[in-house]
Amino acid sequence: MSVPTPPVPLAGASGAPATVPPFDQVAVRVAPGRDLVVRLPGVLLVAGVTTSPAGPATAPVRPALVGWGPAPVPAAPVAAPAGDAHVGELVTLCRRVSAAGSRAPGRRLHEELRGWLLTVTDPPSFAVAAATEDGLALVLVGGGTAEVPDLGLRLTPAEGEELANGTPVLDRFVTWPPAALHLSAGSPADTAPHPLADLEAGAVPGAAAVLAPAPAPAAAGPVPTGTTQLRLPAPHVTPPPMPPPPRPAVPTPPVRPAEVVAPPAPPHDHAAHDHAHHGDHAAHGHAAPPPVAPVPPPVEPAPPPVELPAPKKSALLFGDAAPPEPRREPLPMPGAEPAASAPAGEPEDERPQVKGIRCKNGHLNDPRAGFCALCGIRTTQQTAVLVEGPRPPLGLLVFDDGATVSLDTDYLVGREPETDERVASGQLRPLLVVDPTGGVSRHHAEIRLEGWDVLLVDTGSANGTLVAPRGAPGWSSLVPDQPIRLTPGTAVRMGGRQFAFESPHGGF
Amino acid sequence: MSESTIAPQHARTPAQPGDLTDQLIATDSWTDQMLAEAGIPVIDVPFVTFGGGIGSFVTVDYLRICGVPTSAMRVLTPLKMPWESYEYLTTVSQIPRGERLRSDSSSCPDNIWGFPSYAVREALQGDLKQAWNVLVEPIFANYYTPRAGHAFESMEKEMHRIRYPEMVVHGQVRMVRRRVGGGYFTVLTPPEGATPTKRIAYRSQWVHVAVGYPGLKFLPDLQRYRSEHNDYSRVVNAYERHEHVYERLQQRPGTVLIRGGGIVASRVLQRLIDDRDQRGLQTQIVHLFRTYVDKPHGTGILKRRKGADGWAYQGFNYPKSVWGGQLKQQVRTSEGAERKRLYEEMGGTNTPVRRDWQEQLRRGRAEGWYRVMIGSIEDMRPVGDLVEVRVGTPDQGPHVGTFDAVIDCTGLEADIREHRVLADLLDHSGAGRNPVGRLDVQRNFEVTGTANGGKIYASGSATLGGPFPGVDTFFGLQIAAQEIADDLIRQGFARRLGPGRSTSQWWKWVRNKQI
Repeated sequence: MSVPTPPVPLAGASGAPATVPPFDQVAVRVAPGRDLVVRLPGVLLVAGVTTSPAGPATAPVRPALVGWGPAPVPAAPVAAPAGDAHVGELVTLCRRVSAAGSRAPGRRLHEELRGWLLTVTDPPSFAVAAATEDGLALVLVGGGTAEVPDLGLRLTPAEGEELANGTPVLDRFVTWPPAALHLSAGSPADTAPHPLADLEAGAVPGAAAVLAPAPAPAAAGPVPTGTTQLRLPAPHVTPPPMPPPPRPAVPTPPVRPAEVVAPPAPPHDHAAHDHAHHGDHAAHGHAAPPPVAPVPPPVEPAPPPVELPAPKKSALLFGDAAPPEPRREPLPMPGAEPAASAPAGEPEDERPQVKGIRCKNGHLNDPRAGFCALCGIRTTQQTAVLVEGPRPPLGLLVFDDGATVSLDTDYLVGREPETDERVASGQLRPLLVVDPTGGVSRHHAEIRLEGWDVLLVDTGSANGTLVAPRGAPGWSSLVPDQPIRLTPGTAVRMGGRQFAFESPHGGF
Repeated sequence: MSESTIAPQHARTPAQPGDLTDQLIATDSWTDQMLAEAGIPVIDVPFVTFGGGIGSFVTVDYLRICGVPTSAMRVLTPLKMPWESYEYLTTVSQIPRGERLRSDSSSCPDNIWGFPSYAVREALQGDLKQAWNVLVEPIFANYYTPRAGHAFESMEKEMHRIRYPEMVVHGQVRMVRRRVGGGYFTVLTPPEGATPTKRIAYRSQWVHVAVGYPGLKFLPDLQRYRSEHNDYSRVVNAYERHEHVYERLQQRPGTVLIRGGGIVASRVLQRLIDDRDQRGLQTQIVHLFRTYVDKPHGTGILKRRKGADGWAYQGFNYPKSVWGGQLKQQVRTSEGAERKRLYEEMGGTNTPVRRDWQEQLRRGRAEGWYRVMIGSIEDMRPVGDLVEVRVGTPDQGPHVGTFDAVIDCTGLEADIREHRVLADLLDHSGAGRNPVGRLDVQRNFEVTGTANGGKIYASGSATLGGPFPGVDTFFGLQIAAQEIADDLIRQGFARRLGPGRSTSQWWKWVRNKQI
C-alpha cells in the first residue's frame, strides 16, 4: 500500500553520476582555534577537544645535564587540551577507514561511525565529511555543524536523531555543494582562515575547516581560459583509485556569489541507480543498511529555465543552402504575455491548480507521462520543468452499471452523501451509490485528488471497502482513514457495488 | 491547430551555475572557451548516441560487437530501458507482451545476424508450429510475427550481454552544436540535483541521433473535443490508455465508432470482438474509413497488393522488396520528387491479412454488429452520456450518430520540427529536410550538411524518406546501424567485422557471453 506523496519532479529523476571533484585535491583551510582538525585521504574530521583547567603549575623537574642552563619557568597555560581517549579512538577509526584504500570511504566511514557511536557513552562533539562516489557523507555529533555560508545552507545534529545517551547525531549523504563548506565542532571560529592556508594531510589544532568547492587554490583570480574539465566516474562503475595527488592546476569556474541561486540542497538520492522507481521518492526511503535521518523530499522545484528567443538562422558560406524552411513567427518575449503559456482552451479558470509539466504545445501533463494527454506529443523530449496550471480530469470511475464519473474534483461516495456538511459547503461533490443490498454506508468513502494522484479513503464505513489493482490475485481491504493511491485499472468494491478507476495519465 | 509550435515561455529566472547563455544559444559553432566561460563541464567521449530507444540500442550493439569498448560510447537518454517507449505504445494499442507484433521473424534488434530468428528460437523452445509457419508463409499460412514480450525479453538479455547499462547517462539532450576545431558538443540536462551544474556537455567526434519520432499527433477534432468539453474519456486515441472504454462496454451494451484502417484499428477491433465473444457482450461497432479500398491496391501489376472490405492489406509496414528487391534499388537511386512519389506509393495505411481477424469481421458483417461507413468526422459533442458525431460522407451528405465511445486509430506522426533537438539541428547545424520532409540523411545515415571533422548520424523514424526506405522498423534500425558501423570502421573507430570476428562474436551471442 503506497503512501501518497506529491509527485516528484520528473520521471527519471535519478541516475546520472554527479560531477564530484576529487576529494583529496581540494584545498582545506583551517581556522585557528583549539579543536582538532584531521585530514586523511578521503576524510576530513573536526573534533571538539574538551579543555580542562590546568593543574597548578609544577616546576619542571630539572635533570642535571651537563652544560644546560636553567630556563625561565613558563607561565602556566590557562587551559590545556585534555588528552581525550574518545577523540583518539575517533581519529584512529578514521585513519583505519581511510587507509582501507577506497577513494570514496564515505559510506564505509558512515557505517563504522554508526557502530562506534553506539559503543561510546560520551562521544565528543565532532563533524566529519568524507568523500562518497557522488557527493559527501556528513556525520555531525554533539556541537558539530556543517555550513555553506555562500548558499545559506546549514546542518546541525539537532535535525538528526538522539543517541541513547542524549547526544544528538546527524548523518546524511549530501551533494557536494558548489561553494565552500565549513565544518566545525562547535567552538566559534574567531579568525577566518588564511586564504593561503591549506592542510593536505595530518592533524592540527584549529576551530574549523573550510573545504573548497573545487580542486583549485581558493585565490583563483582571472577567468579561466581553457575548457573546464571535470572527471566523471564512468556511470555505474566504481572509478579506479585516483593517482596520488600532484595537484593539477585545473582552472575552475569561479563561483560568483551574486549569481548563485541557493538550490535547496537536494538530499542525496539513495535510489540513484534504481531506475525502476518512478516518482515516489519519499515513500521508499533509504536502502542502505544504517538507518539515517528521514530525508525530506525536495520541497520547491528549481526555478524553470529561461526559454530564450530563437537565434538567427545560420548562414551558409559555401554551397547551396538547405531547402528553405518556412519562416517562423518570432518567439514571444518571456514574461511579456503572462497568459501566453496557457493553452487556448484553458483560460484562467476555477479548476484547482496543480504542478505538472507542459508539453511543447503548452498542455499541462502529469510529470510521469510520456506523451501529452491532449495532443499526443512526447513529453520526454523536453527538460521536465514543473509549472502550475489548472488540473485536467485525472481519470474516471466506471461503475458496474456502466455509469462513468469524471474525476475533476473530490467526491464523497455513499448512500446519503448529501448529508455530510462538507458536501453542503461545496467542499466535496456527492457521489450517490445506490446499493440494494444495503452494504454501502451513508458516508462510505472519499475520493481525493492530490497532485496527479487519485486517492481513495474509507471513511469508517460499516462494511468496509475492498480494492484490487489490475492483475492482483484477490481483493484487499482498506484500513479506515488510510488513503491509498488508485492505479489505473484498480477495481473498488463497496457493498454490492463495484467500480473501476481508469486514467489516461501515468504509465502503463 | 491553433496552438503555437513554440515551447512555452517561462518566467525569466536567474541563471543557474553551468547553464546555457544567450551567447551559446545564438552561436552555431561553439569553442571550448565559450563553454568554459558558461561554466558547463565538458566530458570527452568519442561517440555519443542520444534518444536511447531501440535505435540507440541497436547501433551501440553493433559497435560493441565490432569491438568498441563501453568507455568510448555514451547513451544519453531519459528512458530507463531502450524499449520503454515502444512497449508503452504497443501495450496501449492493444499489443501487450503476449500478442504478436507486425515484424519479420529475422528482424531481431537483439541479434545483428538475424539468426537464429525469432521463429527458430520459438521452435527450439518446442513450438515447432512456428518453424513450419515460416516455411510455408505467406501462401499456406499468414506471415509469422514475433510476440512483443519475446522481443523485449531478448533485448533485455542482449542489453546485459553488451554491458549497455554502463554506457547510459540519464538526462535530456537539449541540443547538438558543432565545435570550432572539429567535433560536436551535445548538451545534456541531467536530472535535477544529479550534478552541480545544470548542464553537461559531451564533446565527441561522432554523434548519433536516434530520437525516434517527435510524438503522436492527435487529430485536431479530437484535441478540440477534449479542450472544449474537458472530456478525455469518450473520445480516445488508440495510442493512449483507453482500457475504460472496454471496461464500460463490459458493463452495458454500447456502440463504438472506430476510425482508421491500419493495424491498430485491426487490433482494437480484435479486442472488441474478443470481449464480445468471450463475455457475450452486445457491442455494436461502426467503422469509419476515409478511403475505402475494395480492390487490390498499388501501382503497376508487380506492386499489386490485396485489398477488400475497406482495408488495404500488406504483410508488413513495407513491401518486402524494400529490403532487397527492386524497390530498394529504385529508392536508392532516386532523388527529390521521384523519391517522394515512391514513398507515397509504398506508404499509406494498411494492415496485414490475418485469418482470425478476417473470420471475426466476416461474422460481424453477417450478424450485423459490424458496419462500415465512408467519410470523415466533422464534429463531435457530448450528449448526455454519449458522444454525438457528425460524419461528412462523400456521396450521401452528413450523417449524425451517437456513440458510447469513439476510438481514433489513426496514427499520425508529428513534424520533425516539433522535436526540440531536431529543430535545433535544422536551425543551427546545417541539417536539412529530405523530399518527404524529415531529416535528410545520406546512404551511410550521416545527416547531410552537418560534417565537421566528425559526423552526425541519424536513424529511425526521423529520417524516413532517405535513400533507404523502411528506416522506422526493427530491420531498418539494424540496417542503419550496419551502415553507421561500416562508416565508423572506415574512419578507424571500430574494428572490421570480417568473417572470423563475425563468427566468433556470433558464438559469443549464442553462449550469451558478456562482451
